Amino acid sequence: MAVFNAKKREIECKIVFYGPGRSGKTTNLEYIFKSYKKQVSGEMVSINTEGDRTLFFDFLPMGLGKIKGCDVRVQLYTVPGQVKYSSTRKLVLRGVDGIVFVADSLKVRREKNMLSLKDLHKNLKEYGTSIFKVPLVIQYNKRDLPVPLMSIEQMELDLNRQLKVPSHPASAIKGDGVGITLKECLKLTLISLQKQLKWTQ
Amino acid sequence: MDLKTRLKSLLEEAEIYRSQGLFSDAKTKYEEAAKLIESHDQLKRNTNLLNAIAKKINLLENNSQNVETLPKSPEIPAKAQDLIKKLFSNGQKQDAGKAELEGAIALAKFGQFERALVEFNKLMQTDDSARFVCVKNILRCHVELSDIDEAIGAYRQWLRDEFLPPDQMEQIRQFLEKLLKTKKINQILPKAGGEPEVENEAAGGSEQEDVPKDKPEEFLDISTIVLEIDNDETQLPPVELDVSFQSGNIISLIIDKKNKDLINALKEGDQIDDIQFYSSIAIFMGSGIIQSKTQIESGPKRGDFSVDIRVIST
Repeated sequence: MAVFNAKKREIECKIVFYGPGRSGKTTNLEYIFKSYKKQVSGEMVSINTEGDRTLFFDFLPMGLGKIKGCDVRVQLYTVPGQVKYSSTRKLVLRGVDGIVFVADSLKVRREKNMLSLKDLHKNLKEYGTSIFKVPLVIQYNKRDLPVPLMSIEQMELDLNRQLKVPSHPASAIKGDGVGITLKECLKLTLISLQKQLKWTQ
Repeated sequence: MDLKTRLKSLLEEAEIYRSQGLFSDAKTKYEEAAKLIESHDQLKRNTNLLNAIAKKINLLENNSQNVETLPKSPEIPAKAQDLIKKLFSNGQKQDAGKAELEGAIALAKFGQFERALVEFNKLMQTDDSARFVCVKNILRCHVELSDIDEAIGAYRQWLRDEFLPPDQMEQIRQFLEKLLKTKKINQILPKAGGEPEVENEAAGGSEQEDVPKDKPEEFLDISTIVLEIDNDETQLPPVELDVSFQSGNIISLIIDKKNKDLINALKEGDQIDDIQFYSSIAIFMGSGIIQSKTQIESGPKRGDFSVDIRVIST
C-alpha cells in the first residue's frame, strides 16, 4: 500500500514487474534506469543475481515530480520468475500498488506465461486483493526475436481475455514498448491511489 | 522446407533459446536437430555435426543443473541486507522500534538468518515488548541454520533466566518442539516450573506433543513435494512435483497424463506418508490425504490430472 504523507504532500507507491522466469523483467528495469535518468532518483539495485537470473529482486527508485500538488515517488521492483522462488515473489508483491506483467512472446513459453499469471492471481488473493482490481498492464515482450512467436491475438486470448487490461508489445532489450508500458501502469496506479487516498490538490 | 533449411532453422532456434537462458527449450531443439540428422542417411555421415550437437546438449544439461541447484536464499552482502531491512519494513509509517523488528523479520523471510539473528538479539535487549517475537524468530533462525543445539541451548537459558513470563515460555516450548519436528527431531523440552527432559532423535510418537490450542496452525508456502508410493499394490520411485496452488493446508498438483502409474496409485481418500515438503525456508516430512483427483478437460494441460492433497501432519 502506498505511503501517503498528507502533511508533506508526498506519496510513495510500489510497482512490481511480474512474470515468468526469463521473460525480461530485469531488462525492462535496466532500460528504464538507462533511459529515464531525469526521473530515476537512485541506483538500480539487483539483489543477488546469479548469472543473469534474479534470485531476490531488483529495485529502482524514481521520482515523478509534483502531480496534483503532491510529490510522487515510485519504487519499481522485479520478482524472481522461477517457480521455486514463490515465497520471495510473494514477499516482494506485498503492498503493491500497480503491476506490469511481462509475458514472454516465445511460443515455447506459452504455458509459463499462464502459470505465472495464475501465480500472480493466487498471491494477490492471499493478500486480500484481486487481480481484477489491481492496476495492471500486460507487456508482450521479445517481439523482436526471430523464433516462433505467439501472435498478439493469441496472447490476448491466453492472458487478457478476462482481465481486459491495457497491453503492449515490446522488445525490452531494444527499449521498444518499455516506456509506454510503464507510463500506462503509472497512470492507472495514480488514478487508483487518487481514489483510495482521496488525494486532491 | 528442404532438409538443410529445416536443420539450420532448428539449430538457430536452439541457439536463441540458449542465449535467452531457456536451457530446456534449447535442449529440445538440439535433440530435434539430432533426430533429423540421424533419420537422413546423407546427413548421418556428418559425425562432426552430431558430435557438436551432443556437446551443446551436454553443456545445456550442465547449465540446467546449475540453475536448478542455485541456492534459494544465499547470504548476500550487508549492504543488500540493509536494503531489504529498509524496503520491507514500514519504517516511515510507524515507530522506529517496530520498523526495526519488521526489518529483522524481513531478513529472516529472505533467508538471511545469520544477520537476522544479530538483529533479533540486539532488539531483544533493547525492547522488552519485542522479546516474545524475537525469541520465536531466533529459534526459527537457529533451526533453519540447522543449529539445533544452539536453539535448545538458548531455550534452556531463557527458561533458567525467566526471560519471559511462564505462559509465554510455554508457547515458546511448544513452538520449538514443533520446529524441531520439521527436522525429524522429537525433543521433549522442559517446561517452565521444571519437568523431566526426554530426548528422542528418532521420529516417532510422544505423549507430550502439544500444539498451541488457541492459535490456528500456520502453513508454510510449499513450492514442491517429493512423494514415493510404496505399498502392497504399488511401488514407485520418488517423484518431485511442483505445487501449482496452495490454500491453507491443501496443496494442488498437476500430474502429467503420461505418468499413468502415479495417477492410478493416487486414490481419493488414501493417506500418503513420508511426503517431503519443500518451502523456501524449510524442508520437512509429513503426511497427506488425497482430497480429490480430477482430469483437466480443457486448456494446455488438457488430459493431465489435478490432484489436491490435504496436509495432515508435518
